[in-house]
Amino acid sequence: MTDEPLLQIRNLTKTFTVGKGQELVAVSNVSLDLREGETLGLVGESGSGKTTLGRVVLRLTEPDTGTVRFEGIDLLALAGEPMRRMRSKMQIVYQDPMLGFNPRMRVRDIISEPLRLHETLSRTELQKRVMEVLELADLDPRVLSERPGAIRKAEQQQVAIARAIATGPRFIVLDEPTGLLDLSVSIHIIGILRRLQEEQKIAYIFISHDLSAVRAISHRLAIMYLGQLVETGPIEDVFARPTHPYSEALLSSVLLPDPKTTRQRLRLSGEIPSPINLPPGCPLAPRCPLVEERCTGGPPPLVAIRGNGESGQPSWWSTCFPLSDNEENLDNWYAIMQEHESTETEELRAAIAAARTENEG
Amino acid sequence: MRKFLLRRFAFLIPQLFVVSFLAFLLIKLLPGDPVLIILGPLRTQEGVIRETKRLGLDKPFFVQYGRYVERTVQGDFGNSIVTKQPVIEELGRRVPATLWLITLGLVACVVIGIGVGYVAALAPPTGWGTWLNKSIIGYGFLAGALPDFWVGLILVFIFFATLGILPAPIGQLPGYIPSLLPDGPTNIDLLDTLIKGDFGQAGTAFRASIMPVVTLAIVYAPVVLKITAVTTTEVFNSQYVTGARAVGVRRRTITRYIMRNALLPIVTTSGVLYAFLLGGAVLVETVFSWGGFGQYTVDAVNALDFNVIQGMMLVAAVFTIVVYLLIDIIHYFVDPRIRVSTVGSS
Amino acid sequence: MVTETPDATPAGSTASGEILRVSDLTLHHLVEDRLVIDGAFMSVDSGEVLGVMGESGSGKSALLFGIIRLLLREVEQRSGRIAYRGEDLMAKSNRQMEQLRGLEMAMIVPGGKFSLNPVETAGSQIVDVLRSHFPDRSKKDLADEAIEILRIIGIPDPDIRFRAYPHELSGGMAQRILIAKAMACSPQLLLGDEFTVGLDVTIQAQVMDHFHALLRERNTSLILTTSDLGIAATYCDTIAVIRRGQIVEYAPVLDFFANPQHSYSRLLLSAAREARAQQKMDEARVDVERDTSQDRRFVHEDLPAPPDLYTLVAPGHLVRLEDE
Repeated sequence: MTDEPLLQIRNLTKTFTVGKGQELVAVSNVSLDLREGETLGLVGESGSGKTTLGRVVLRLTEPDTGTVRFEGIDLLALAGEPMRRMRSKMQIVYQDPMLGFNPRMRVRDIISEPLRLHETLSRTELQKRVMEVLELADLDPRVLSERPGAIRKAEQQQVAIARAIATGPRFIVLDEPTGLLDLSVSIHIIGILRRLQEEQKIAYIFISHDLSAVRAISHRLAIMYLGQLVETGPIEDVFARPTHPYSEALLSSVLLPDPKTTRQRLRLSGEIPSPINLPPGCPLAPRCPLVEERCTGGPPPLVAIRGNGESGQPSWWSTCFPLSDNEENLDNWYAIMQEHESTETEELRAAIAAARTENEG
Repeated sequence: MRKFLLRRFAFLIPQLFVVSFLAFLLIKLLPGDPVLIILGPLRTQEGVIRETKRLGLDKPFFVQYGRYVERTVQGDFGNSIVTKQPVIEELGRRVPATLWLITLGLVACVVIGIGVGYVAALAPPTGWGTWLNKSIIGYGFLAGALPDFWVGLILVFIFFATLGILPAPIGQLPGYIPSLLPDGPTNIDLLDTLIKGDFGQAGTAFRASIMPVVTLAIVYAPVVLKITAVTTTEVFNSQYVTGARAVGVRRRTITRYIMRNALLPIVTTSGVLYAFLLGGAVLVETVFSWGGFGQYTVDAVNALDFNVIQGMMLVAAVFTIVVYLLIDIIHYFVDPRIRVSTVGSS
Repeated sequence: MVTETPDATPAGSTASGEILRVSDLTLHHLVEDRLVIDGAFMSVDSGEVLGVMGESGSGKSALLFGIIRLLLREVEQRSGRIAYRGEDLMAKSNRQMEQLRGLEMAMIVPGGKFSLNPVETAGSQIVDVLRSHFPDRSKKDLADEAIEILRIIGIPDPDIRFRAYPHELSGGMAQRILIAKAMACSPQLLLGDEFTVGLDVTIQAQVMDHFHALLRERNTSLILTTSDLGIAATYCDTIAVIRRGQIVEYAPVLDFFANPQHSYSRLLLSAAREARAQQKMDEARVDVERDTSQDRRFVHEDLPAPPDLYTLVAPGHLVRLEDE
């Protein structure tokens, strides 16, 4: 591994104009690094901009400002043929693989299509390569002569993976690849992706709102809310001790598959606001139980939780005003967050009591 | 709401301009020189030059177009080359006749189409439901294959020639020579006779319109029927209707849900059918000597009667534009999704 | 007032009495020629939440539609008895079922705004439910009550949402409207068909916590289909695992998670156990022991299951014999 990360994203911003004077900031000033063979889990709720970020990184959508360096090359400066060649090294897998397939083509042609576009191979070489990726994606050769609509959902996703790795990419954006699948099948797909990564050293950006899937595959976690990254760090650290109130709210909302215990949750009030024409300040401010006056004033400060990485970025950081006061004493900060938490049992009692009073009143 | 209507009406102006320009341009592109047709075979060279000058055909294209627009706006469509009558007068007699016929035809199509289509869509998949659906499919195929004039002729054969219970296929008011036709405000004989209080004539006019209207209904009702059956089935199986039934919403209300949601595609299709019938009913008009718009157009095209063709195109285009305007307005009132949101979503 | 249901007993009290009993329910899909539901059974008490767990295609939502007797036209019922409070639903006419739906039992469908009539306001759709069962009450009266229901369901600014069209609502809000529709006439039995699928986790927690509290408060029963083990463990009293139309295991929730018997249940739970083991390491999480003293109240001693196919492994815990 070299010092230079495989993918370096700096200050990336993408704004969409919707209607007259209405601006939707889908991605706001995002900076991230991705190393060879590493998986970055990108989570956030609907409208957080995670899918747009994935597309902007691949230049499937042009960003407004910012830079994306891939293998040290400025992607946004490339055009025409050099960019086209670069595409064979970066791929994307969608939630619904059928959207990326021509339903009339057979699986064999779907998988070999990128090879024919990017490389000049003889018939036997092509055939050999298809069989290789088929095995890597754990697919039965019988599917080769099928049309994509005739095979199972999980197999469709495996075909999409096989097609994505056909040209030997170094980086794949996985946009909710398990979103439509049942649990047992989704575990299978994650297993395939992990094995592929070990063997081929491919880097992933794994976009999902399924937090257990993200945890199963990622090395690092990035949490987005309304276009902004609110916290980024090593996966187990962030899961175990999230520092941003939104991270805590999100991770504590996951229901435990255990009927004997209940969980303390940080509860956000209301719903995710519309991402159009956001006010300045922390995007979470209107819903955050720990909100202070300064939170609505301007952009929240970046708080380094753990040391600086090689490329100048801390390996674990978070953006929050109240957190910045407790930078030196994180235990204190966790205690503050906990004061605002409650279990669903407590919530239930409160709700029942409230309903009673209304009834009587 | 007023804003939407204003915007939609304002849009009519450029639409009309484009249409008038196309009507004008197409005439220019047609083969044949109107001057030669007007003067006939016994023309002289000087006559041709004089006539060309008189009609302004020696002027540049856009000057000619400008004069055309000016005349048209004043209601002057020129004179027919064949009859020498003002085109506007001819249109005034012909257009109402056709509008009357196709409006009645459309109403029949819509009533039959929606009624039968709705019942068929909600019929059980066994017993009479299967039977009904199969008959409809068969009828759909048959009606799609039958030429409308043929259906008209069969009706004439049965109800006039054989049974003799309906009048002969000779116009709106059989038994009157054209010059003696009642002159009324609407130029629709059935209405004019009614206004005059001549119920005998009105009865004849009514009976005369049965066969052409039924012909249109037989041939074109399947268009409405099919879209009704498809959208009703779709809406009935939709998540929201299933959801409403699963919480016990009563039948009457379910019917309203289905109707309101299925209405838009049905309205659109019916509108397109209406616009189509204006020219599309020409063979039916011919069979019943209806003296309508379609017949007049065919005559004008055959005679290369330029002013008439231009006038017809304009009428047809305006009719289509107005029908589509009505469709848009209905959409606006039925579907809140095209209205500007008045309630915040978050 | 909506909230005054005559049978409501205070939460926590051991109100019971069987409200629904289903036995030998078999549904056959005519076009695909297969059994969508094969000999399903269940017993639900007042205030009980039964979780029907299964993956897509297992037949879990067909089961709910079978109980409420709204079958697809391609599906026919081959056999089965459905008794609601001792009354045989199979003997009821379509008209009688229409009256019963909404008033006695109602279904919460998934799909958010796509499950609401797109051309009418959220409020008028709740009024439609009310008017279907109380046709004599005034429009104003019903509208007031609908707004009250929205407030009870936990919808902020209920009078604004009342006038909103479905496309103007967020996914979470639309789903709450669907819950409101089902609960409008205070039915005693709710059937929930994976209705939080597609909601973001924080919204799901908000919606479910509030909804669950309401159920407890009103002592309403719920049959909830889900493929989410977290939902099953957190909100259900009893679990029925369904695979290929057959119930393979039926158990009180604690017993099910502690002691799954069927190989399929174990497979489902293995992933959950792994996740749980990881979550145990989350130090910032304070996971509190839940008060489970109440949970014993829903142990069904006399489940209507055929004894030759099922083994009783513990009180109220049945396992289907495995083919192998």
